[in-house]
Amino acid sequence: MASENILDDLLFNEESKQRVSIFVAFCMVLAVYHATVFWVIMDDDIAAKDTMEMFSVSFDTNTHLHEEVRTIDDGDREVLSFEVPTAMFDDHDGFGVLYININYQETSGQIGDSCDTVAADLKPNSVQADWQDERNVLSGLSTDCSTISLALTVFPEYTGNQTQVADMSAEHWASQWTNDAHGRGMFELQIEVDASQPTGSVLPTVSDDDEEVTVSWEAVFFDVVVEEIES
Amino acid sequence: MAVENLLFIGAILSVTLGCLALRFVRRNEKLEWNEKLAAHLICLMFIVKGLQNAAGGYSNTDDSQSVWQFWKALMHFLDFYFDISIVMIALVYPVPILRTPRQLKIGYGIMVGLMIVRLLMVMLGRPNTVLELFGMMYVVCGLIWGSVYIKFRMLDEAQQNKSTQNIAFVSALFLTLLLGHIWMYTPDMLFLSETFYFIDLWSGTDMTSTMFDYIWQLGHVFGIAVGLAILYVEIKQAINGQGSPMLYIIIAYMLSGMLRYLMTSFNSLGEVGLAWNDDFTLLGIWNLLTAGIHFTMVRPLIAMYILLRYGLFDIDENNRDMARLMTVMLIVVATSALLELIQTVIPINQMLSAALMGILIAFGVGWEERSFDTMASEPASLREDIDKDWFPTFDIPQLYMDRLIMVSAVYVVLMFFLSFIYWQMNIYEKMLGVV
Repeated sequence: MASENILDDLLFNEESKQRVSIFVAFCMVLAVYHATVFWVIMDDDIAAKDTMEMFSVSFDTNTHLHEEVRTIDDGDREVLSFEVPTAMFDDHDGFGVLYININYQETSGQIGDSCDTVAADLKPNSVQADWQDERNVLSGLSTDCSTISLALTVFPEYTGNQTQVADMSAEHWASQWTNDAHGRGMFELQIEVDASQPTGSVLPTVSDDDEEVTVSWEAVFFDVVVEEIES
Repeated sequence: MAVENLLFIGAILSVTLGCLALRFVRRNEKLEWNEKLAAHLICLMFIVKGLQNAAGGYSNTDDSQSVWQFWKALMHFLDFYFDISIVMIALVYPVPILRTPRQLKIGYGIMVGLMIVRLLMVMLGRPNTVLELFGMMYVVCGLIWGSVYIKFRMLDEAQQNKSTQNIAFVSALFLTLLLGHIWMYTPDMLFLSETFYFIDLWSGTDMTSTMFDYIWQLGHVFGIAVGLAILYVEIKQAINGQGSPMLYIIIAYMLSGMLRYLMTSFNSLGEVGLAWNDDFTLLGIWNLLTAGIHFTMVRPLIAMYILLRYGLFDIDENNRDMARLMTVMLIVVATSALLELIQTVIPINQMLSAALMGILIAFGVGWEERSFDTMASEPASLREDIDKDWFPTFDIPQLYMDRLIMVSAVYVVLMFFLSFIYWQMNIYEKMLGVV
């Protein structure tokens, strides 16, 4: 009857026994070698391999301001353009965010003339920016002479807040936040005025035909500061 | 096309070939009990491995929000099946280590028990613990197939015959399938390279304990020991005038590992970027063309070769066309994927690569005509002129095989469900401290 134990056949004669034993012994020798390296020689390196370096990423900001006053006729739609000077791109790591404030007052001077309606719309165009960012406010409307505030995230994911990141190197994170392509080009703001007519506007001398609008462009540039956080 | 796409190609190959092969194996009534078990397990293993490859591809590419947890979990859980099934194959094929129904029940029972322990840990939300014994399959399979290989490969010339050579070769092929990528780590392990000693299933995180990493690496160490033993034996036998194709296979794996070691160790050669493709470094390409191809293409190819060459398919006039279709599919998909891969990393003109692909496929199909007939008509034997003691006979009803397939299918569905829970409960992100 055949043996039920495989070892009887594997180690059937002296030669087989010797060969298989040498093979198993060789495996054990390598295992001991590996254990020595793993637990003794390289133990500190192995223990530290998953300890990731932490970095804080913060931003020094610098703002470029530009203001423009425009009188827009009732029912007209005008496009205002704005381009940041090249020097700003050369002097900073990136263009973070663009704020636009549109102010106006009722300037007709007529008694009983309420605030006009002003609508502003920052049109997405070929300028490289994060046009899809959820925080963007690309259009606004005012009927009570309040300021219309628009915002566009130009550098993707820029918030201006200090953050902490793990792994890689300081250079890597600095390079992630350095790019002068974002925000280059001409931004276009479309403004439309719908002038409200004062009481008694049926009289030929009483009318409100236009509105003076002040547009403030605020381009926030940043220089990234990456510092390793000591554990 | 990067690593992820190669994983998808591997997935298509594995799942398609696994399903087709299973069809053949189920119809083969000539198989002995151990061959029947092994053949079914090989097919099922490759179907599940294919799904795992696809999950791996998605987990590498889909980094949006938290869905990566689903793919990562699925990838790991399906790997349990590969682990367990490859050990089960080693226990019965090419020669049965378990020789009686009782031994078979105990042996397979232990493996199923290990699987249950792993699943319990996973369900308890405690994956990646040492209880999983991840890496032990390399140890067990390495020792079993390694011992069988050495026993039969080093028999005295008078005791050798075709079957003993075939048993040694099949054992070595299974070892190549399982350990080929590990053999490439040989110099890294011997020369204390971080590439080896920092091996971690969850690299860059502390998801696994040091002991878990140690057990995982220990499996690799046994794999390397088996590789070195095979290299020694093959060189010795070649000097004695008994060379085997295994010598070239093991040398190819060891050499590619040596080249990788040189790239990582000297002058940061491996980090050199390619002038024509910023996405790749020299090392990245080398890994893609060696370890990447081993995982996705070589493994299914070896499995298919074993199934065809050693009579695990019963190819007759009724199914010859289907079997041929399988091999042609294998050749066409593998050739086109390989050329696409080369085209991605090396700037070959598309027209030129299309022409090259045509030529290679033509050669491949021509070669298939010739080699397929040889393999199908004259399957190599593992039993002729071998002491019957090596192959005890008893019967395993087909019903058990059907149950094996059913259980495997249920396992896959269950793993999809578990992975979904892992994703929805953000278990990995909680473990990583992200949420």
